[in-house]
Formats: sequence, C-alpha cells, structure tokens
Amino acid sequence: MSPSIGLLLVVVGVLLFLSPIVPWVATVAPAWWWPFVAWAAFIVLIAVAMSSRRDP
Amino acid sequence: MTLSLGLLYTAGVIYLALLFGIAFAAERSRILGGLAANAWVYTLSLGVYATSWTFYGNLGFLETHGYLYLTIYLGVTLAFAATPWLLRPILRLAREHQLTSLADLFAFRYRSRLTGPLVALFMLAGVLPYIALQIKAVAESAAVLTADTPPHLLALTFSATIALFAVLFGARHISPREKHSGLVVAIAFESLVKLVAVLTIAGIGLFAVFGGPAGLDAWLERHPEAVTALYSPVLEGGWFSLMVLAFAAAFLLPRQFHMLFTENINPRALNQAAWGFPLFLLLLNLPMPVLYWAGQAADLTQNSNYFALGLASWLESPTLALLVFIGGLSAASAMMIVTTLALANMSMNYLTLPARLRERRTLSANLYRNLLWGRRMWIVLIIALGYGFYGLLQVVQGLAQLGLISFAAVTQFLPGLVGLLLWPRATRVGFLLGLGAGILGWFFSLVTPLLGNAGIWPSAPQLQQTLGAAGFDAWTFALTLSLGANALLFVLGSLLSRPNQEEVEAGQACCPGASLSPTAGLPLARDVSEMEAELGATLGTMPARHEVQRALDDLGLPRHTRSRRDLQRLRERIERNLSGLLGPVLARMIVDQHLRLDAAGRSSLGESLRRIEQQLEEARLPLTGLAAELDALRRFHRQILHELPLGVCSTTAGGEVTGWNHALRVLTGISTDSAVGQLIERLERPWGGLLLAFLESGDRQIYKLNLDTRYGPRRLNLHKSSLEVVAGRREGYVILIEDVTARAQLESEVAHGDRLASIGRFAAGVAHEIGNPLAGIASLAQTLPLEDDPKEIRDIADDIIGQTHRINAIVQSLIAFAHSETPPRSRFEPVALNDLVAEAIRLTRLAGRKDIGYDTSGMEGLCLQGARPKLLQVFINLLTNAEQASPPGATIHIGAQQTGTRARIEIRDQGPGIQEATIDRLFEPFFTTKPAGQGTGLGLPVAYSIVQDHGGSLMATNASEGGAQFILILPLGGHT
Repeated sequence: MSPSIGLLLVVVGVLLFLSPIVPWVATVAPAWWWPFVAWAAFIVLIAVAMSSRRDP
Repeated sequence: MTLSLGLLYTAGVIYLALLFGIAFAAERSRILGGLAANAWVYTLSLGVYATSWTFYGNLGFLETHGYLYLTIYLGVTLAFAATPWLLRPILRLAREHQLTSLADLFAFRYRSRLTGPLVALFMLAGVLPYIALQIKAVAESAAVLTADTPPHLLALTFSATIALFAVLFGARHISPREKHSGLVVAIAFESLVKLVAVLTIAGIGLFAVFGGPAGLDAWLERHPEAVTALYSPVLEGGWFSLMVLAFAAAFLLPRQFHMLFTENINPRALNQAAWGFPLFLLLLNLPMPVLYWAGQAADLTQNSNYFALGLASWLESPTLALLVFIGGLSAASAMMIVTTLALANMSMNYLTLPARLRERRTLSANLYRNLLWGRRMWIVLIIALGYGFYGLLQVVQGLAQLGLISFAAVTQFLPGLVGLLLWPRATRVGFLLGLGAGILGWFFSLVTPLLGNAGIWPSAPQLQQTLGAAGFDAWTFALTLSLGANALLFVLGSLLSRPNQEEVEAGQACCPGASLSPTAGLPLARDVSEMEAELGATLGTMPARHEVQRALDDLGLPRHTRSRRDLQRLRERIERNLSGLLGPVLARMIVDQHLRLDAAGRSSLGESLRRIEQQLEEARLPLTGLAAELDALRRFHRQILHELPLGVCSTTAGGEVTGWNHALRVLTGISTDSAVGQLIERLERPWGGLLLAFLESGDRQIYKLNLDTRYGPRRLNLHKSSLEVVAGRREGYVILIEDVTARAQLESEVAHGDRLASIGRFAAGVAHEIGNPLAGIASLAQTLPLEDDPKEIRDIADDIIGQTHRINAIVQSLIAFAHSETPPRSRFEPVALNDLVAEAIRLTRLAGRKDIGYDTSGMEGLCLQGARPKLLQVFINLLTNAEQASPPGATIHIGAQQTGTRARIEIRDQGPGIQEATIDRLFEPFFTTKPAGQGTGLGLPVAYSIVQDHGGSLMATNASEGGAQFILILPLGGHT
C-alpha cells in the first residue's frame, strides 16, 4: 500500500470521526453500540488496506 | 467485602516478579525471545498506551464526558491508519540512524545543542503528571479494596518497587541497540492481563447485574437517559481537540515512541499493528459503558473511576477483586516502567552526558558502566519526581485530567514532527521558537489552572478567563492557544532563518524517499587502530575498542583493512552505533572531533554515485515520473557497463577502486565486492601491481601484455583515460582491460599457417637452387677421376666443397625459418637490418621470380630489436607481396633511416599501386586482391601482427613516384 492510500484512509477516518456526522449521531443518539460498530468498520478497512501492502 | 493491604501488596509483588521472570526468560531463551519479533506480541506490547487511566479513569471520564472518552482511542486509530506515511517513515529513520527517543529524532533533524535538552526537559515535565496519575490510581484502588484512606505507604512502596523493576527490566545491562526482547514480551503479557481483567469483570457484571445482554437492553429501555448521557457531551465540544491530542499521543508519548520504534525488532509487524492495536483498544473500551451502567444499576457508592473494583466487592468475590486490582496494577506498572526507561535514556543523553563532556572533555574511562548507573539514577529520580507530583496533586479528582495534560504536552511536538517528515526547509530556529511558545501556552492554559484549582497556587493566572475565552472548553482553548502559537512560530522562524549545511543534509535524510549525501571527506586515520586510539580519548580505551569492533562486525569488515572507503563506512557506522548509545548530537560531536575528515580528499563523483546507487538499491524506493525514468536510464547504462565484454575498472584520483565490472571479475577472479573500495595496489597479485604501474605510467595504452594469472598466461591490451569532470579537478581514472589471449592464439596459428605456406613455396625454389650446385657437384665429380694433376684435383674438391656449403646455407636458412619460435619480448635481441634484409631477399628469390632486382640503401649500422625469425618473416611477406605486384624486370627499393630510437624502413615496388577502396582492408586476415587460388590473404596481416608484437607499426600507402609503398617503423636495439 502506498502512502497515498494511507492518506486516503486517514481522510476516511476524519470524515467518519471528525465530520458533522459526529454531532448528527450524537443528536440522534442511536443504540449505544453504534460508535463501536463504526470504529470496528474503520479497523476492518485499515486491515484490508494493510493486508494488500507488500513492503520491501 | 474488603481485602487486606498485605494481601494486595503481596499479590502485586508476586505479579511484578512474574513479569520480571517472563522478561528474564525471554532474554535468555531464544524461543521466548523470538516472540518479541512476532507481530501479535509487538501489537500487544503497544497496549502500554492503556494505562490506569484507561483501566480505571475511563469510567470516570465516561461519567462526566460520555462518549468523549472514545476520542482518546479513536485518535490513536487515526494515527495508526496513517502508518504508511507517518509511522513507517519514523520507524525507518529510527532504525537507520539508531534514534532511540523523540529527543534523538529532533536532535538529529534540528541540529542544535539546545534541541535535545529542551525536548528531554519538556518531556520530563510533561509526563510527570501522568506518572503521578499511575501512582494515584494504584493507591486509590488499594484504598477502595481495603476501605481505607489512600495508603501513602503503599504508594511509596509501589513507586520504589516499580523503580526497582524498571532498573531490572531495562537497565540491567547496556544494550546499544535498545532492543529489550524481554521487555516487549513482558509488556505484551501485561496488555493481555489488562484485557482479560476488563473483559472478565464486564462480562461477569453484565450477567450478575443485568442477567445478560437482554437484561441490559431492558435496563436501557427503562433508563433511556443513560444512552443520551453518553451522546450529549459530544455536542458540548472538545471532540476535535481530544482527537488531536490522542492522535499525537499515539506515537509521541515517550512510552509509545519507545515501544513503537525503539523496541521494534520486526518492521513488518507495524503493518499488523496498524489495525491490530486499534482492535485491542476497541476490545478494551467496548465493555466500558456496560461496566459503568452495571455500577449504576448496582448503586455503587465508590468514585466511578473504580466501579470495576466496586463491582467485584459488590459481588463479594475476592478473586475477582484481586484480578481487577492486578489488571490496574498491570496498566500502571507497564506505563511507569516503559516511560521511565525512555525518559531515563533521554535525560542521560541530553542532560547528564553533555554537561559531563563540557566539564571533563572525556565521558569516562568506563563509559558503559557509567551510562548504566546514570540511567538507573535517572529511573529512580523520575519515579521520585512522579511520586512528589502525586503528593502535590492528591486533591485532583479526575485521572483523565492528569493524563490529558501529558497528552497536551507531547502534542507540542506535532508541528516539529510534521516539519521533520515533510518540510526540508524547516530549521532549528523555527523548531525551538515554536516549541518554546507551545510550552508556554501549555503551561499557562493547562498547568496553572490545575495548580490554581488544587490550591497549590491560588493566585495562578487564569489565562482562559483573562482572554475572555471562557465559552470554549478547556481542552479546545489550550490546544488552540499552544498548538497555534507553536505552529505559527515554527513556520515563521523557519522561513526567517537559514538552515545550516548539517540541517540541510538531515532534512534531506528525513524526508520520505531521501537519503543522506555522502560524507564530505575521507577519514584522516590511516587504519582501524588509529581510529580506535582517537576515540579512546573520549570514550575510554575499552569502550572505544568495543565500539570499533562492533562497527567492524556490523559491516563485515576485517580489522586490518586500510581502504579509505572502508574506513569511511566504519566512521559512519561508529557514529550510528554511538547515536544509539549517546544520542545523535553527542555521537556526531565525538566522531567529528576524533575521526576527522580530510576535506581536500572529499569523495569523488564516482564514489558519490556509487553510494547513491547503493542507497537506492537498499531502500527500494518506489520512484515515479522523471525520477523513475532517470533511474531506468541509470540502470540501463550501468547494465551496459557491467555486461561489457571488456574489463572496466574505475578508480578515484587517490587510486581507490569504485567500479569493477563482470568481465573483469571473470578475467581476474576478484569479485566486485572485494575489489570496490580497495586501493588499487592492494588488489590481488598480479593485478594490483600491474594496474598501479599502468596508472602511474605515462602510457595511455599497453598492447599485448603477457601476464601470468591464476587462470594461466593471458595476453592483454590496456587502455586508460582520466576523468576530469568538475572545474578541472581530476575525479579518477577508467581502465579498460581487453583480453586478447584468444586472438593472439589465432594470430599465432595464422602466422604458423603462413609460414608453412612460405616453406611450401620456398621448397620449389630450394629444389631449384640445390639442383644447380648438385649438377655442378655431379659434373665435377665426373671429371675428378680423369684428372691426374693434384692441384686440379684439389681445385675440383674445393669447388665441390664450395657447392656443398652453398647447398647447406640454403637448407639451413629453410630449416631456421621453418623452426622459428617466438621468444618473449624480454628475450628480444639485436638484429642487423642489413643481414636481415639480405636474407629475406635471398629466401624470396628462392621461391619467386628471378627477373626482379632489389635496391637497398641506408641500412648500414642499423640494428633492430626483436626476434630475428619473426622479423625475417615480415620482410619475406612484404617482399613477396612487392615482387608479385611488380612488372617484369622491375626493381624493388628497400630504404631505411633512423628516426630517434626507431628505424623507418620503406619497401616500394613499381607495380600499379593500391586502390583507395582496398587500402584500409589490406591488413585484414584473408583479404586479397589476387585471383582466387593465388593468394591466401594472410601475408600482410601476419606481418602487421608481428610488427605490433615488436612495438612497431606498419602502414601501406601509394608512393608519389608510383607503386605501392609499405612503411615499417620498428624499435632499434643495440649493436650486433
């Protein structure tokens, strides 16, 4: 995986955890486990990206 | 339910002893030690991030700030998602340059004597609240279980025990590379214990309090405000600031930097840690809301920080309580051990050693021992300071508050780190200004309010109120003020100052894809012993010897090497190794002071190119665009040079070999690796002597040199060219070595064939020449019986003998010609030109035309240096060629004159001359202008080859008076 994909991952993370989505979710206040599901999904995304990485 | 203090203390000591046992076993056992390189173990060891703040303080933070507590872990997840462009480059730098702490990293990049001490001091100050937090958490957790006031004696004993274990874990001996496999395995075990403890108490709490997940759902339905209380604080602000703090803390906290980079044994493990560590944090945090609600549902009266312990007490389970206590102890002890180890190294290298070096000009006669004791002292001092801070701040209720102050402190390194990785223009002035402003902002926005609220400094300035920013949450205000001022001054300071040469080099080395340019000079030291003696003046004799030997071992160099390139590499390796031990600033200072460079003998262009190529190969950087195309072109040219069938050797002006291609490797049997870097005279015999003599000689070429090599005798052509690239400065030489052994063999065979052909031709002439004297002998013999007069008989006998001598002379000439061998050049002898030409004419006449006249001039007294039979063949071939071209009754002119040390001999016929179209091909083998079957096309090439063997030249031209003319230049010898 190239640094640019790493950058893309962070952008996704920022959109997920630092965008207006956060206050919207906080306002809606869905089930308590929602933040954990979003977190787990992001971890899965990192894992998939990392598993395709072939470092020298 | 309460537990006795003695039990808790005993359990704690047994647990720490178990940890030490694990670390000890991992260091002693190869199998256990190998676990440290395992990606899962490495990932778990990063769990040192989860301290007692996570273990206990999360619940208190959750109670007051709801889901804001998640930011502390989501920020870390973001940082680990940035592994490819953030964590991996730092790991690369740390490994390549042996940088063992954040102070090392910044001191390496922002070269200033202030950088390291400032970073170390601020880190120390910034992390003390965090250490105090751990002591506080352990003491308070014991108080919860013993139902007593926080036992100060326990806090003190805990601190002392941790200091002892920190010394045992990481300062038992000096490990120059700072890889403690035992520490990694033990911390990974601690992380596992924390996780198991949290999951166990949460699981048991879930079933014991709620009766299972369904019960929890039912409870939440009855208490919808519980979920709302988690979400609503997110809307009150602080989410972004806390995320940024956690993002920075993920790799800038001393313990995180230490485990992530310094203790990393297997760089590939970072890939797995990029998602494995966030997963660990997720598993650790998922039960927190459940635990908190369980505490609420069970109506626990304790401080919410300790709901986990309270739940165990509520369940009346001493085992569970002990497990939770051990989990909390595990979290606190891991943090304290790793943090103090990292800070002790940093403090020793940047606060103690430079001061000592300034005072005494020498580090110590026993450097390693002093380093070890220095670190131990710092470990004890740091924990003592942490304990002192704990004593001061007992009134502070929130564990998270103390932790966040440390997070905010390390966040001040973020601008400098971004500059380090991405901005080569950043300077030390900008870094120091920015960090200074950040420290002030941090102190006045976070520390003074804490001291004021705690009553320690009641009149402390309240900056937030003073600036009218009370509407912001404290963390957003502190972060905006400190980080904003820091980043602004960092950029302005960098733009308004100029980086020095060292900074430019360091900046290039730090940016992704860049490499260090070669050192500007070669070491003045002539050998390894001299380097050792020089270093010994500061390091002490034994450490200097040890460090030099370690560097030699790392590079696989022999101790006796005198190659300047080897010594240069050795110097760099010593600096890197010392950097791991003393930090990059001291290492550079010591190496610059003692292993000085010869500025005049700076690396040649060839050497620089070779090093850049080596770095490119090692780094295997994914080049793109123009860089990729240029690299492809470079590889193509390199490949051509490497695969050239000619041997190519390039050297520096000082005679150090910088290139040695495949053909030369095959020819000499000397591998490229062993040749490159050697002084040319040190190459294996006979090559060293030969190439050095050739370099020093004024000759640009040497032809057909006979050389005895390990693969037998070879015949070589050598060519030399000097490389003058920059401002007329000689950069080195290129030597081409052509192996012409096979061609010489072929030429010899061709010459032999030509000689045989000549003998064949001569045989007919010989038969004719012998026939006449034989006929005369026969006639005389017939008249002999008829003579009575003794005088007549004697005259006839004399005539017969005369004829016999004539026959003998002819036969001897032929035999001598047929049996001629080429002697080596060393056995060349003087040959009288006059006699040689006369002999050649006689032999040519034997086989050739009798109507041709020969006119010789200017040969008297000239004496050639060479092999007579070979030179004879040259003249026979040239005369035969002239004779065949001559019209009937013509004369062949043979003239000679001396020109310096050489003889110029012209052979001119009266034939039609040579056509312009064929004049360039006359000396090609098998090229003939004669009709098929009448010429072999070998005579002139053979003559040409022999003349070259004699160091002469042969040219063909058309004479101005008509006819062809061959000009022979041959070296003159002595007198016959």
